[in-house]
Amino acid sequence: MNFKGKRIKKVIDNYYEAKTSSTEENYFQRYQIDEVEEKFNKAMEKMDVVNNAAHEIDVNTFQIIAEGESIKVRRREKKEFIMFLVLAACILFVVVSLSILVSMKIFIYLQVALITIMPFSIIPIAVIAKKGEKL
Amino acid sequence: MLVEKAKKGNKSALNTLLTQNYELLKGYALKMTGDPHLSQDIIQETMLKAVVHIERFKPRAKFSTWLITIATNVYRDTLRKNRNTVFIDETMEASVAGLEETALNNIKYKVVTEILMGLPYEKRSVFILKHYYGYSYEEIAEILKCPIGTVRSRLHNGIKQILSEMEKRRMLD
Repeated sequence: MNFKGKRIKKVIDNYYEAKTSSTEENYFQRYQIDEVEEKFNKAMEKMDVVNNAAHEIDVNTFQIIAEGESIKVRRREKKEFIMFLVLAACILFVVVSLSILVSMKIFIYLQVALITIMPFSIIPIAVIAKKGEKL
Repeated sequence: MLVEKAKKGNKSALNTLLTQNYELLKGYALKMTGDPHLSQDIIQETMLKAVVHIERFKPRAKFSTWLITIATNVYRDTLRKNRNTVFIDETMEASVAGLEETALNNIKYKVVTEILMGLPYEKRSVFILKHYYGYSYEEIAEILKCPIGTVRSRLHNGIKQILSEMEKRRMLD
């Protein structure tokens, strides 16, 4: 039998349209079944045998979730480390540039300012940020 | 709701989502690969990618559709890496109905799987998604990232190939 003609395309389209549509109109339109459609229906019925396959496939979803979470943590840490390096390089560049362009004293003033201001700013900010994460 | 909880890091919600869609994913992987061992790898890889990229899931589509999309991409990447001939499993679980019926079903299953695996990957994926899962042409086009016309054409050509193969094997007499 030749399955190359336009007839088989119509049969395929009608078959999947009837599957998704539940109207009576579609049912009565298909009252004439020719040999092509008969063979097609037979073939599709035979293809359904793979639905009955009983294979035991063991998958531990909890283990997969744990692995996925650890991958996410590693990626986040890598990203944070790269951001830290970039930020540190930028700050260093700015400080060195200012020291060269303006005066070396700027470097010393900055050091003193950081040592005195940092404990009263960075630590509280870090504590608030951590509390925010927990919430 | 479950998806929102999973996105916020709720492991129980994530586990429920994966468990609810496990049978669908398993059936799809088995039909695509014809090999239970490869299917297991595909399923695990798919679930892992879903866990890692859960924030990327947009609720406009079903979660099952998203998993199917990931599984399709994972299988396609596996094919590109390996290009091995696909192993068709010759063992099946014995059913309660009886040994003779099991043997007949095994043969039918093996033949149909051979015919299905004889289709090129693009036509096989369209046929499986349309025939076994009832996805619309638009949904399949989105999953496979191809135009709707291409989906229809692959479906028609895939089915014609199945029919020709069955005729050769005298399965339609």
